[in-house]
Amino acid sequence: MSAFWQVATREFASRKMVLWTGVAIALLALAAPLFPWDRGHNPADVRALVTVFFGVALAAGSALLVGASLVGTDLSERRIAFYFSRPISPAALWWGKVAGGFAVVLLSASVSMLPNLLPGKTSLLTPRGNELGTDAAKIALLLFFLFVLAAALSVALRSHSLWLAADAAAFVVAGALVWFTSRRLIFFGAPSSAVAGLWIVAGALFAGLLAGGWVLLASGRTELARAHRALSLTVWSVALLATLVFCGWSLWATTFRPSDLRKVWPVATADGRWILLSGHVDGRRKDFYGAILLEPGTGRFHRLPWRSGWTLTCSVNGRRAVWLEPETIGEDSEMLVSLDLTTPGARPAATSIVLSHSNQFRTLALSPDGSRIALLAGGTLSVSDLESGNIVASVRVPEGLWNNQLLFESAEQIVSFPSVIRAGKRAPYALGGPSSEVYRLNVVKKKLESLGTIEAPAEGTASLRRAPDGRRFILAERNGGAVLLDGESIQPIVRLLPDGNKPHTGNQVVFLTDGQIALSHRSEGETALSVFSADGVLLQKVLLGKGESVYLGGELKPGTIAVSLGPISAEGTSRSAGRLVAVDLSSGSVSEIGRGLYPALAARAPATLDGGSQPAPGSLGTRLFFRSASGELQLLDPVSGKLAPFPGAGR
Amino acid sequence: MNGPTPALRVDGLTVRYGTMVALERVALEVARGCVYALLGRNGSGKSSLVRVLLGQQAPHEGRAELLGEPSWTSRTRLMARVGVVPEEPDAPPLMTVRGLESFCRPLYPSWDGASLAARLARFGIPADVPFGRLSKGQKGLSLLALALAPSPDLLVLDDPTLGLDPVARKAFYEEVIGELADRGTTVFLTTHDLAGIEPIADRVGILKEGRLLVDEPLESLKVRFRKIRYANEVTEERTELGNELDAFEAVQVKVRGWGNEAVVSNYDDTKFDAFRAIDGVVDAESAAMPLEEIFLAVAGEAETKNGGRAQ
Repeated sequence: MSAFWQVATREFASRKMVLWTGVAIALLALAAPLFPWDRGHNPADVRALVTVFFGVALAAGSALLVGASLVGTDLSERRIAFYFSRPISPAALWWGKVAGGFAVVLLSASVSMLPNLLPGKTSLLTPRGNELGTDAAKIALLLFFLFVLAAALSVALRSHSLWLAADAAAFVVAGALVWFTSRRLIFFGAPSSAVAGLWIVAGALFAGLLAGGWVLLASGRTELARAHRALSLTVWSVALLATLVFCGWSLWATTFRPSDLRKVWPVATADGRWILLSGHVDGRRKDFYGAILLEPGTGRFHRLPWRSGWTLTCSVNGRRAVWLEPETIGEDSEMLVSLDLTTPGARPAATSIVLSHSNQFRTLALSPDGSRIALLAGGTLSVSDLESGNIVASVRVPEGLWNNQLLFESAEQIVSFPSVIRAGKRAPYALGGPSSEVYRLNVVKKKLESLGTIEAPAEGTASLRRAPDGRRFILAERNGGAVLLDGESIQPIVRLLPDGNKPHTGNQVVFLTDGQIALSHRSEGETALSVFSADGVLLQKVLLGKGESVYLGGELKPGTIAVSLGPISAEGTSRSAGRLVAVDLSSGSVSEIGRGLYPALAARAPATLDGGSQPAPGSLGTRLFFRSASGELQLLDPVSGKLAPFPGAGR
Repeated sequence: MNGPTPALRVDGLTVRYGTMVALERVALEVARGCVYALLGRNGSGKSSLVRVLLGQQAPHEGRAELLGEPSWTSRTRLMARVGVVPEEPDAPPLMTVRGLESFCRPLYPSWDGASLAARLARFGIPADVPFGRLSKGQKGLSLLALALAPSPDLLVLDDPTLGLDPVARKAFYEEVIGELADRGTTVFLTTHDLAGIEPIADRVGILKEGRLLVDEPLESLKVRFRKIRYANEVTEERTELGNELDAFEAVQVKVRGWGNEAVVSNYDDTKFDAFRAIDGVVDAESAAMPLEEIFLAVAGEAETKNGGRAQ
């Protein structure tokens, strides 16, 4: 301790000039407002400017200069032998020099900054009281890092040894590993994991530099080249180890499997051959989400960044999937990736389609045969040939179309419509929000025509769904009935009111495969399901009993729909008490499948990965249910009628 | 090894700098209380040996011990018992001698401040002048005073009189001699000042190109090494010259106008009587050699008068 203290005090005393410089800057800052400035100046601003400008320069400069001369100079001039000729251990020498040298840096910086903390008028550059401690600690840490880095660099640069080349190589290797690892994490939408990894590597480098200073004196003593070797081995051992740990963690984190996903959000293709599972990746950081396109029949899957999962769309024939992926880090550009879903072993490949509008929300749709892609972005709706990348048609779209859904009616016709209509037509959450107008693009004529405007609800929101045949739309209002619209004129055909003019809530509507329409509703605590013909005539009403909510699922088989009923009363019953039933729409019979379950995807829009189809009766998409208590995904066996955890997706 | 632990011991010591060998399998011991003078030309490896001894540099092979402990691993503890005066004064230039004393005093278990003050006064060194502003002689003497202040068991002096004027050199040696007389301190020093060290050295080592060629008491060295002058003639019985010095292991022979002058490394009086009796050897006489000449004969490369190399 005595040796440490002696070295520290000697180091401090030898750097007194730095401290006096800090005092001089403080005095200059105090005197600065007295100089003849323009009238009306704020003395606190002048003081703060002088303090910040000179104080920061002093802090950074002294950290670098004192650090650089901490041991490097003594080693290269062999004056370090003065300490080694005395009973001073390498640890006492290193830590004493670090403590004494950095104390001068910190004290001089603090003294130079003092005028900025004087009571009275404050300026924009005056630190606020509640941030002062944290900011000061951060600045001190940064200065300490610079100080230690300068000490290490000084030894390395003065040694002129071949280890300098080794340092450069290790730096390049570590930098490249960190870069590619961070890039991979950012690609998967986990920037905070990348930042955490960078902090770990930086922390390890810092620890390596600190420990390296001690090791270089313990192992190298008066020999500069040997000291440099010891320093390099220590620093890079620690830093590269941390880098490899970061790489290993990143590799593990990004090679998640379907069973690693939790709280999944599934969307299947209409035929149920493929399913997209998005969710939190188990065991990773809280913000680490991922998506997997899984073929449950074969177990084949492709990992996607979570955000890419949002953009994934399939062709109606189920042969092709496309999605957007980040192209490079640091830029917001994306590329369009395509995957052949029918060829075993096919890998996702970037298409040659150029996405000209970066950093903008895009809507995309594939033609039914998967040969063309429609992209709505940056005020332009373009249709391109997926194989060649050639643009087939491109038109400017009216303002407000940016969030609309796109659907190919055929390879030559695309319809654009909003999926949610809000009261007052315009969405209140965005400038130029979704238009309630429905458009059709004629690809051959390269002409965009308006089919009509959907009348907005009086209040609240209404969801718009398009019949798979394209001839009708249905607008399900939250606090009313549902309106059947003509697909060509966008004019109301009929209002679907299941129970006269009685007010009812909890409306959900699905098109059935035979063209009929199923509408759920609740009125005075009674839940029911009404079935309408394709032209809106009420065919049947099935009473489902008391309940607070009704969730519609898909068709378990033609004419039989899965329905989840919410709690039967509001008194002390949980959502898990809800019943999942199968409703035979022809006979009106209701049979219970299970309790505490609700349909996973059928009633949502879009219900399938192609965006326009309904899940085929009995397909995977109709047989998936969430267990409401645990969020676990359950699959209904159509033969036994039993439920089992969905293979491949965790809880 | 039986007997008291030597103050200093190196064994099989090898130091290399890249491909250059600075020390090659050097082995030596210095008994306690002894004054050991290590001689050698510049670059012979003296300073490397000192650095290894002081635990400031790791050898590539071999071991070095001070006061019975390995100097590399026990350096911190050992330095409390060892006084060091380096070849180049290495004290921080802005520190005064008083500041140096304040720095050093708490580091040592025993510190004789009074003797330090007395020595500084004797040397005439100002205590409040920065070290960097002292003359070379003052720097050396103040470092000697600081090295002696903790009353060390061993004093290691690496060419301490280099660059000192005769007065400072005299003061330096007087102080060392005084220390020896008072406390029986072991002294290990490297030097080029052969005349200065000759009166006080007990044992001498000579390094040449990293190899220890000589390691023996100074007295025996001076007996073994002598200069022989003689004239050499061919006679009827002695028809071949040049082998008359074989018994002496001559290290240097110079051909002069009047005859030959040889430095021999294995002299004794009996052999010299036999040499004088050789037919054709005339006017033979031997003379003692100062240490400087012995060193030159061993470590130097003297030339013959006519420009030829020594035999």
